[in-house]
Amino acid sequence: MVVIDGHTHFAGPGKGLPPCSVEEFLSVMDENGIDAVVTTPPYSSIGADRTYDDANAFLADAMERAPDRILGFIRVNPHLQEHALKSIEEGVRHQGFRGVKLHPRNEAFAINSEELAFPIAELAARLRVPLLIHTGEPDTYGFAQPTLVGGLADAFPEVTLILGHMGKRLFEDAILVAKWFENIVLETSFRSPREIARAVNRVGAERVVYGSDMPFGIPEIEMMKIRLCEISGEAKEKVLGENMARILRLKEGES
Amino acid sequence: MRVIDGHVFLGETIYVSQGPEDLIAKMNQVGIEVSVIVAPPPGPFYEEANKVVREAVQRYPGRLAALYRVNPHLEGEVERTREALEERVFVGLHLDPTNDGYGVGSQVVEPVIKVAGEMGVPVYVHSGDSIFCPPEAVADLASKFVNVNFITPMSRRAPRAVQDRGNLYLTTRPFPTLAFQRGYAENLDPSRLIFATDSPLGSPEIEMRRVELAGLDADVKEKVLGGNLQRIMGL
Repeated sequence: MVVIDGHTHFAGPGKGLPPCSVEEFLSVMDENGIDAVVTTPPYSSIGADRTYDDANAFLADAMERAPDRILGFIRVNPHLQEHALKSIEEGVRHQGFRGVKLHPRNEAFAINSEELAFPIAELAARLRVPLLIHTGEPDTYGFAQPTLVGGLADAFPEVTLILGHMGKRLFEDAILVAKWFENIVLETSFRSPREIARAVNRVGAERVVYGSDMPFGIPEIEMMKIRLCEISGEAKEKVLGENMARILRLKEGES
Repeated sequence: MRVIDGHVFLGETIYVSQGPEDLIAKMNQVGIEVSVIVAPPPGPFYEEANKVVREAVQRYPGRLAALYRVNPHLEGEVERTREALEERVFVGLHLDPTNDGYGVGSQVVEPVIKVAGEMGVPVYVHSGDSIFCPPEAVADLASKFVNVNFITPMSRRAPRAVQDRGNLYLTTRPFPTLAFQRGYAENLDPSRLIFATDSPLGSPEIEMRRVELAGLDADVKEKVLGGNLQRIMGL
């Protein structure tokens, strides 16, 4: 059985967010039986680095050191569009990034914005990589509400859109929008076993992926939730890793 | 060490399904000695649901304690609440402004709180998930009724809201393991944290494991896992 943690953050040394090194990260993965992680810079790692250049460079280096186990998703600031698009193109084509992480709340943009989000999705479609999107309860402007992702899903049906945290408390909305659009996948961090089972039963085990949001979540606890879920063993295997392996085309050996 | 689960739903509704036998089996499995049970939503009427809870406590004395679920909108609810507490089966009250649609600060709430004060029982007030019940409003209520102990669930703003209110306690789901592990739990007073699973919405197994991973000192663990609730509910 392959286990891929579909949502983690890797800040690096001096940020107060363990794991702080590649070795420590691999050790945590080994302790928890995790074969590979999807990882991306956390918001608190960037400081004044609004382009995410430093944080992405750190991840690129980490991926080089553990290419089969650390699967980076490049993080960008959509407000700096030209820079963001250039970073994604370079990152995916030449640095081994496997996808793009968007955080509508922290970057203060609506995920259905034609001006800010659509150009990134268009590039993701061209590069054949998924988008991992933070979703959750309404912030001031509701930028990260899961149903807004429907706008992106409708316009770019060829792009896999992974809803981080399954919309948090708006998980019912996340499940609904996933029913409306087949290119939406739900990620499980912070959801309960009951909520995960509900997602699997409503949209199918093929479209739910395990994630811990480490270091903000605890991999052992988030994996326990999958184990305690009242779904079949086959469904658990899909959620724990097979689905992410398919989304990232790991079995095909493609990058 | 005595483990008390401070908030558990018992009954059959569209949201949850948990009978007393199932619950006792789960408690035995993870080492929970006592569960404080309450009728689950939706309302608006809870007489039958409270009756189910009452019967479960009488069936499992010493293992189950109960909160009386109140909808303060209803005519005659204050009298019903008083009668229920006089039976000495229920050890506290339960208010859910989100599901029953009233503001924590509204006038309908106060007569019920006064009954709790007269009877010397704590009041659990659901908060943190709707405009009806920001945790700050529960803190205001605690400031107004200083002779009543209040309990409210963990949410993003709740730890700050409960500070400086000695009669306001926080349930812990999800248990703040990382805050204790990484040393940023300074705004979580161990004397006012109450372990709770919200079972069957939450998992007792997961919440117990979260506590283990937190690496709490023995005295803190004793308070959080049962000591605090034992003190304010007289369990």
